[in-house]
Amino acid sequence: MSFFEKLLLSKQLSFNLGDIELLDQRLVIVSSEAFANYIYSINDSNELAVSNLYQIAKKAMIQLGINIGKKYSFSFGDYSTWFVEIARLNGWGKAKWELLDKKNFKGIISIEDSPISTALKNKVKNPCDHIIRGLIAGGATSSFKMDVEVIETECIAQGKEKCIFVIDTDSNLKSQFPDLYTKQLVYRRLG
Amino acid sequence: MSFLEKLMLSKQIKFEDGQTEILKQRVIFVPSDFLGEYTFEILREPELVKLIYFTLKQGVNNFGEQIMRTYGSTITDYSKLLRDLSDLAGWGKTTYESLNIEQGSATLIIENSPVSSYLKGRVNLPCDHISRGVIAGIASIALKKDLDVLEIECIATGNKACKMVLDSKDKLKSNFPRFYKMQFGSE
Repeated sequence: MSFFEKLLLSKQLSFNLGDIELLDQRLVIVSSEAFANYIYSINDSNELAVSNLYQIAKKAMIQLGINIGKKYSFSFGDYSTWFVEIARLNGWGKAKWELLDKKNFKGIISIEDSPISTALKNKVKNPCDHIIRGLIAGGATSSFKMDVEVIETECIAQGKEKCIFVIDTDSNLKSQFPDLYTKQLVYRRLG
Repeated sequence: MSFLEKLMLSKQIKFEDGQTEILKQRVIFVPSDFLGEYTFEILREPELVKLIYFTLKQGVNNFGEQIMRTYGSTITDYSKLLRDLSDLAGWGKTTYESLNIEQGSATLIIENSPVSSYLKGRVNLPCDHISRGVIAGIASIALKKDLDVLEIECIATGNKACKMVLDSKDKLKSNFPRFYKMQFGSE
């Protein structure tokens, strides 16, 4: 039985007229190509809009984590596994934990066939998966119970085979990836 | 049988490893709170409102063309299919209050719209710019005319449902000058 069928059968995922809910959290389905077109218009020219996209996705995922945590009491391991399975189910590509270090609040997620960066392959200069980057940051913050950020260090849009997302504290990311930090996270501080 | 069940039985909805497709078009699921909060953020910047509207309008061209080519034998079938798709995709319950295919105009009522329900009481202007852009793009493809959409009633501002008017830009401008200025600026 697929993960989708399991969720449907256990009533964790429901489709009603005009309303989709996953663990009581409302979701919508969007065309990945259409959203890629919007991201294309801001990715290399509007750092503030990029930063907002990331921050708001992070905030939404933190709230989702809080709501799910209250109702379903996932363990750290359950939530980490669930998060990657949900990302796959939700069409965000083949997500996989490459590193998960609970003790030091670090992680690396790789994503093959990411929909936004695949749509923008060779069209943008900078990594472009800001929505999933924010969702990962929110999911990891909920999971670690510690505020962490995410930088996309490799991206399919720039010709890489996979997108790589590094999860760590703000200060560690700033020192390890100063250029990418400036492009992907600096407005978090200014805004 | 629900539209979802029909799609599942006919294998027109696919959840393969990391790739979700509906009617052979790649889609993603996102939390509606994220789109609501992002909409709230861009309302401060009219240029971003226009940008998201026009990039989504253009971005669904391919989606609309593919669906029309594959599944929409007539415009009426296509209109029904799009309404069912919108309902399935969680964008609220859509009905056509009016639909004039020859003139390329329509009025759509959307109940339980996710973005405006999320922003209810937080904004004082219609806010479903993502839906507006998607509807405008899909309808332009279907009716082979450059059409645009204004939201003239919105759940977020206290209406029971959202009301979207589809028409040419000129007609929207003359029929709803106040909403036109709010949603397209002074162009």
